[in-house]
Amino acid sequence: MDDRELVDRVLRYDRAAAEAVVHEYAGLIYTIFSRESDDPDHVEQRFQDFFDLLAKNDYQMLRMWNDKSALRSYLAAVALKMVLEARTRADEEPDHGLTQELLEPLRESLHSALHTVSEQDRRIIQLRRFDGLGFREIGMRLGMKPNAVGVILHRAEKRLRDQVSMVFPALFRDFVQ
Amino acid sequence: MKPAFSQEFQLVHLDPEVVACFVDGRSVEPEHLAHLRNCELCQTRASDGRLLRALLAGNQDAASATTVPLDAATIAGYHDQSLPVDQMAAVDRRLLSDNDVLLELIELRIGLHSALRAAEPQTQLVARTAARFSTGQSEESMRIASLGTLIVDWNSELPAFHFHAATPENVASITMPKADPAINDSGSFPAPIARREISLHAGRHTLRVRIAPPNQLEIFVFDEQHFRPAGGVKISLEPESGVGRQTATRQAGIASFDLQPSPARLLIDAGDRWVLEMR
Repeated sequence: MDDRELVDRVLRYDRAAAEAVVHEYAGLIYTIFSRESDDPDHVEQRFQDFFDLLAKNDYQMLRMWNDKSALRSYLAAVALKMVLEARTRADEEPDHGLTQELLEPLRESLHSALHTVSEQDRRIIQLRRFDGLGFREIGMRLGMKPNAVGVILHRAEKRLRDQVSMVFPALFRDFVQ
Repeated sequence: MKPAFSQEFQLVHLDPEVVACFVDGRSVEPEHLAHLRNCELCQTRASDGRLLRALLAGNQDAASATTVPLDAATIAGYHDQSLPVDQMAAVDRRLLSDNDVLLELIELRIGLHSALRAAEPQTQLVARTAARFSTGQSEESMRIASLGTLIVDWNSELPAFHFHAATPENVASITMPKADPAINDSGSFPAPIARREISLHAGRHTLRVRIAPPNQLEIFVFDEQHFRPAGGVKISLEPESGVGRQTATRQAGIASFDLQPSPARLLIDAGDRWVLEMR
């Protein structure tokens, strides 16, 4: 059963489907709140609050899922909204989450990583990410085939991701797996 | 002719050039869009490309940035690369001028990626949350079942407490002298205790109550079905006066409260919710 069918069944008050949603996404939601606090009581409370919110007003929040994303991503985004609202209310810094102050170090880490790749690779990344050129245009400038540009860019950006992930784990999926 | 799929993953994944066209907002064949909608790897490649671009470009035009946050459906759709092209481009522009949105997207990515190898939450917690969610009700609206009344005899020379059940057939009372701490009929929870069997959504459980000297009320919920302490049980002691509410949540083990010689309510949330009056 796909997520659309599962949610439709929840909205038709199928209790088994509703329980299946909780079991399917419990790990994801728990992880998001665990990142915010080391206190298991607090995490459990937030976990329950999340599903209460989802069920509130006849599953209103669940009805707002619109198929433009995976259900998994939507639920994670809703949980994250709860985290951000709680942070704003408490006016507190998160234990593990990112803050504005960490965004600049993240950018600096990425720019530092740029200097670990070869001159040619850096040039391709700049033409692609700063100047927004396509593979063909980059290839014409550097005398390469578009396919070669793609391969070099892929490998160079993989190195960037690996470097940044040393400082910011889980930002890129290939570092997690 | 432009390659449609990579040679490496022929007829499986999109060629990087097609992904690049998509990220740039250029026209992409409908079948490639359809593939992207259903392929996590290609979505990840596109998503990584957009994020790298936003991070490398830095904050631009911050002065004109709107402060209205994106809703959850939009940010999730952007993460999955599945919004219409014009909306994707709008969020792209927003990322260049609004650090809050960029941070939210980064946190969403980290949350989703972290969950790939996360520990599962406690089974009991999931079971009771699922039970509540399936009724479409929030915690506040759940029915609370009565466990009866626990009467503590404070004037007795020997500490004594009795369950007075909600129905006569459930009567179970116990009086034990505190002078005999060696008695231990529960294995992990020393006597004197009062026991009450309770049927929870997650199976048959036993509630064990003990008053430890001088005035410590200890609660222990045991999962008889799996023969282990029940996890994720939330217990609150609410004095009738409304002052001095105490709450304890235990993954497993004993919840302990300071007991005052005054009427109180013990609320036990273990999926189903129970109340025990104390006099």
